[in-house]
Amino acid sequence: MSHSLFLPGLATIALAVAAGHVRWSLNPSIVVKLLTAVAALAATTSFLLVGALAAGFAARSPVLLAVVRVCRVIPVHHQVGTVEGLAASVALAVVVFRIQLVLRQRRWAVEGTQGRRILVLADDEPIAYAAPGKPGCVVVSRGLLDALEPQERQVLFAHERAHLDQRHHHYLLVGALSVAVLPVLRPLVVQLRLATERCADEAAAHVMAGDRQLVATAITRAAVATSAYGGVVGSFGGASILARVEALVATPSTPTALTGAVVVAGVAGLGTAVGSVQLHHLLQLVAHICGL
Amino acid sequence: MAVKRPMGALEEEVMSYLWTTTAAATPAEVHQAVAPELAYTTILTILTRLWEKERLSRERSGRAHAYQPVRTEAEDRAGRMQITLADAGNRAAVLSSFVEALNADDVKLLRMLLRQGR
Repeated sequence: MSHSLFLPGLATIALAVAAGHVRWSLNPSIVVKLLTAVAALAATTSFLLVGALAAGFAARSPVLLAVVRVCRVIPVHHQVGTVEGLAASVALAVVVFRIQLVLRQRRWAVEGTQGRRILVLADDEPIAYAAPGKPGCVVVSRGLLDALEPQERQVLFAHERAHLDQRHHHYLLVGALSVAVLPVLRPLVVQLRLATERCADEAAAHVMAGDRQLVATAITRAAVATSAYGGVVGSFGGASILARVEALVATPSTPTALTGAVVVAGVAGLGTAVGSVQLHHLLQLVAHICGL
Repeated sequence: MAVKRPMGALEEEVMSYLWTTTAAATPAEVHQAVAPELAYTTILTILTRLWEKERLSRERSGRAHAYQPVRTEAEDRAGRMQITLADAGNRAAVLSSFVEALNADDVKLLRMLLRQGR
C-alpha cells in the first residue's frame, strides 16, 4: 500500500471538514444534497482506507490470513506496519460499533408512531418532530399547539410534513453514519441539519402562499415557548433559529442554478479523482473474489 | 408485512425501568436512564403513549409530569395475557396451546395455583 494513496483521502476529509465551517448561502435543498455527498465521500474513503490497512495488517499473520482469506491482494504495495496496522484495527472496531449505535437509534426513533400520520401528545412540553415511516408521522404536543395561533399551526404541520415528503431522514442518516466513521464531520452535520430545517421552512412558506413572515413568526414563537418551558429544543423551534429567521425575512433567493451546478460538478470531479485512485485496488479485489 | 424490529421493544424497556424504580420518574430521568442516545422527544412520546394506554399514571412534578406504572410487572403482564385471550375467537384452543407449550415447572406451578386458588 502506497502512502500516496492517503492523499486523495485526506483531501476529501479536509474538504468535508471545511464544508462544515462555511456559512452556506446557496439554495438549501442544494446544500442538503451537497453536504450529504461530501460527508458520504469523506466517510466512505476513510472507512475504505482504515479497512484496507486493517486487512493488510491481518494479512501479515498466516493464521488471520487463513481466516479472512484476503490472500495476496491486500499487501500489494508494501507491508502494513505494526503500529498503523494495530491502530487501524482498533479504529475499525470502534467505527463498526458506532455505526451499529446509529442504526439502533434509527430503528427506535419511530416507536409509537407507526401507521399514523399525526400524533398529538397530551403533554404541556412544547415539542414537534417528524417520525419517518409509511406514511410517516408528525408528532406534536398539546403544549406547542396551545402556544401557536391557528395559522401558525398550519405552518408547523407543513414544516414537519415537508421533512417527511423530502425524505430528510435519509440525508440525516447518511450524516449520522458519516460522523460515526469520522467524528470531525460533526460541524458538517450541524450545517446539514440546519439546511434541512431551511428546506422545511421554505416548503411551509410555499404552502402558506409565500407568507415567509408568517413562517418566521411561527418558528420564533415555537422557540420562545420551548425555551420558556426550559425544555429540550426540538426540530421546529430548534436548530439555529436565528439563521432560519434571518433567511426567511431576507429577500427570497432565486435558486442559483449555476452556482449549484458548479459546486455539484466540483464534488463530482473530486469524487471521480478519489475513485480513480482507488479503482485499481477495487479491480484487483473484484478479480480476486471472482477468481479471475 | 415485513417486521424489521421488535415492535414495542422500547416501550418494554421503559416499563422495565419504571418497575425497578420506586419513585415516579420524569421524562428527562427516563431518557437519561434508558436510552440517552435516543432523542428526548422519542422518550416523551413513548411515555405519553403508555399513559394513554393506562399502563402508566402521571402526576405534576414542576413543569413536567412524573410517570409511574399503574400495575406491578406481574399484574401488567397477566393483564396483557388476558387481553390476548379476550381477542381470541376460540379461548379453549388458545388456552390448550398455551398450556402445551409450558415447561414442567410451569405446569406444576399452575396445578398448585389452581388447587389452592379456587
